[in-house]
Amino acid sequence: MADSEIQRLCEQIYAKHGRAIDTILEYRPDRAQQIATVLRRLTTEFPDLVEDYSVKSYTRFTSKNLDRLPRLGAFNWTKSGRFVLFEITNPGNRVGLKLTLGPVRPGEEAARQRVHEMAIMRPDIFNKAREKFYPQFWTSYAEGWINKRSTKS
Amino acid sequence: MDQQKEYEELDLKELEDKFRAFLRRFVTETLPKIEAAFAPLLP
Repeated sequence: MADSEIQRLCEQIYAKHGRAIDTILEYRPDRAQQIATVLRRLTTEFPDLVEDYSVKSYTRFTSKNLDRLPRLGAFNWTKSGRFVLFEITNPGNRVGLKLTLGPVRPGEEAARQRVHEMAIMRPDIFNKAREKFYPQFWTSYAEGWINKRSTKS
Repeated sequence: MDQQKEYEELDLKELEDKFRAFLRRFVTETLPKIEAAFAPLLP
């Protein structure tokens, strides 16, 4: 079928059903949201994992063991008060997992510092620990799930 | 398939299977090491 004929057919269909088509497109789930839904469901399949607050681009969780850390998180991160969280990142074109050290409440910086010091002593585990330490959000460990390297293997 | 195409073109079931495998490997291999490293910081 020639492109011009496809265009003519589309125009005819749109003339007849344009409002319905616009509505369908408006409410079509976007790819990142579909993937976020899958990721959130997957974290519930593993009994050792504990869900935290998630948004489309970050599916957050901790583990039952790490959930014993004190809730010192600042109020500008998640409502749980956890300051160490795993995040499955889903910015819209790739997916990966990282361990994020978030901001702490004023006066609790020493706890954050202890985590940093522990991580830089174990670069065999924390593969990002030698990178610049940021006062708000710092990644100590990261792995790519969908990226060029993983697709080549 | 480059990363953008894989993200856009694999169907959700294929992606879910991939993600489940990644998460399982993380939970069984990496998470125990991370938890052990954190152990001295736990109350």
